Amino acid sequence: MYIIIVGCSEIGSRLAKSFSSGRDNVVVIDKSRRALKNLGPGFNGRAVNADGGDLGVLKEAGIESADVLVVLTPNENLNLVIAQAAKKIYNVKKTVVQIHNPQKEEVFKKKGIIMVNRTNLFLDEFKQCILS
Amino acid sequence: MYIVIAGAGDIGFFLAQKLLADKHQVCFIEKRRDRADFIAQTTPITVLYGDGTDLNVLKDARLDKADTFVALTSADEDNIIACQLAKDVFKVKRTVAKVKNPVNIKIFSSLGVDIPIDSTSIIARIVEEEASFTDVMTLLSLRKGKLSIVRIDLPEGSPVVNRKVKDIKLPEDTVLVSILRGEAFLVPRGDTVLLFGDEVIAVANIEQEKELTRALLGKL
Repeated sequence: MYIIIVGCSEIGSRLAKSFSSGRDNVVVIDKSRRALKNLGPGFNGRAVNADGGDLGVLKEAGIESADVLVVLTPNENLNLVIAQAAKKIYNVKKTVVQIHNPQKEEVFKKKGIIMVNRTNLFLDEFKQCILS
Repeated sequence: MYIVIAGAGDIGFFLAQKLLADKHQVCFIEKRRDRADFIAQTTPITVLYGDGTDLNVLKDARLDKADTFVALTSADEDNIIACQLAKDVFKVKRTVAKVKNPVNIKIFSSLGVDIPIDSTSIIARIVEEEASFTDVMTLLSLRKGKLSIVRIDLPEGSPVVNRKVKDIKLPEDTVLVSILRGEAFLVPRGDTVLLFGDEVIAVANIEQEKELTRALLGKL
């Protein structure tokens, strides 16, 4: 698989490392050089220091041939816009984004965006911990 | 009409005052506390303090009753998401958004914003036209630039100066609308003679704009 990850947070970098250690091609984009350091020496892919919200940067990273685009910046609106643009303009089949606001999930699910909702994940985890 | 505006910056503020003067109903959504307070204290406009991409805030703004939603925040992604929520959840018929970065204009249109307004390009174009002392100026673009109204100032060496309108060969689908001569407005008739210094107002479609310019200026 060809995977592009926008946002090299703790989660983004770990995701990148885990996929790049297998047979997948991974490109990680982050506008912060410091964030890209999260990748460490074990990363076997390409790191791009640029703004992933810029379509030109995504194109340069090979968005047209990507199988999956993962967007994990802290700005959920930006994540949703990048993912939709990738789908509409570059026909990326699978786009996965991180969001916080559960209400937006309903709306953007209909547009074919796969969302990982941090709030709901925490909620479920807390519930389980309390009840078990 | 009822119009909801997200982002009460300078543009939003002036827009709201114009809309109000035309007897429209306006509601602001503003996420900066001090700005929201300022608008609330100095104008009769309803202001909701909150995020224009938050469904609860949009609901409080009675977006379901809105005829038009206008997104004027300083972030392109927020304007796009707000317009999408307005359309998909609240069925607002018309969404208008300010585009901050001109490279994003394609994203705005492909993600369903009805009218993206690329203010940066508009201002840049006007400045360019004014600064380059050109004889041709686009006054208004319609249908996304397919049709435009242009003003052409006739220079001394123009091939149409001292000639009758009926003797000028204009490209097809272009019309001379008016001639501004000093303080006078003339309606061009066949016998009207064009003079040096006339400002000619014409309608042209995008393909013929260059030809029209060539016909009236004899160059380009």
